[in-house]
Amino acid sequence: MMREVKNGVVLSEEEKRRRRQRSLALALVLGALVLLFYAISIIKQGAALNALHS
Amino acid sequence: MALATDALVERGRSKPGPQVSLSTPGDFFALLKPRVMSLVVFTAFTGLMLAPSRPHPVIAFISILAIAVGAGAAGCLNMWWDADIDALMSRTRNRPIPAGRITRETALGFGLMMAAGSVITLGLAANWMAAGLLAFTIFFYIVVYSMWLKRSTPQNIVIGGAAGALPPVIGYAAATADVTLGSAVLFAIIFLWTPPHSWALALFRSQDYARAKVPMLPVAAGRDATRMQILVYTLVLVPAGATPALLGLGGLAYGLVALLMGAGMLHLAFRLYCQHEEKAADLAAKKLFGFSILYLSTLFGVLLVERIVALVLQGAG
Repeated sequence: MMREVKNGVVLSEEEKRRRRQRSLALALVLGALVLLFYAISIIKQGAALNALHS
Repeated sequence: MALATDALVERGRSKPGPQVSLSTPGDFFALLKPRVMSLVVFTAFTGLMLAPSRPHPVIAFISILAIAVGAGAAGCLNMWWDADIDALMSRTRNRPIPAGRITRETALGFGLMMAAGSVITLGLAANWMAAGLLAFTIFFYIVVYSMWLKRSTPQNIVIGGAAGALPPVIGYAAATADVTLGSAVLFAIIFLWTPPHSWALALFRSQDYARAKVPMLPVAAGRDATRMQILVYTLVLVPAGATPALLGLGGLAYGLVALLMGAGMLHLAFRLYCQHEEKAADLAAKKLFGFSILYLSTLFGVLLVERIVALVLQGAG
């Protein structure tokens, strides 16, 4: 959407709503990635420790 | 490449001011071709389950997720490259890029990030053999199929079909870090299934492909040659579909289902071959297209169910 503005971009309510949706989705994906790599680390370390002690 | 979206942006430039995106998370999800992703998840999971050894359940889940995201990245990059074609075809003109909801540049960045992320995640979670296969699949789908073959030869989907056939091999490799005869047979089934499936679609969508100047077989070689090729590939597919029963990957139930469903495929392919009148042939092609999806889903579904039952019985014993 294009418009002339003098003091920065002024977003419409719809634009703000969609930006909020995108931000929320990105936050959820980043949070899921943190959990994902945490799980990988724990499981890999657990397997390595088991191998060491057996 | 002259794009409908470029034209939209150019029209927009006649007005001053910045461009603000109105895309939603759903538009980005649509870039991943979720329906293709679901088939990839299903076949990759079957490949993983058929492997003689299985990783930790969480690692297995993350591996399948990474394969799905990798397939989604390939779909996204395909939409980035083919946006001009998509804008011309009725089936694809409402996709996020031709519809103007997402720019090509955004799709390129999103696709590359997802591709790199999925390959690295699969490498760290499972092994680098599986990650290498996933990277090769994405490369093959984008560079070899989309950029090179799709617009230059009617054999595009025959060779390009290799990308769609690799997910069960990746799933198997995620569990074993190996490629075996068993996983190669799963590859062969999807590889041989792709031409009759895609050409059946191309027959009743041939005007779309002609408008977009994509040399699909019905456009480049004609409808008669396409019907013949569909029959020939189906004749090769049916015995290949039954091979897992001979190799011990599938049991008796699988063998019977593969032969029964194979007979259905052959019947529909032969009926299509005999239809010379265009409307009747389109109808026969639609039936074959629909049945081909059921055929592949059933074969992999039975393999999966047989495996799960065997594991349950093994656990009970």
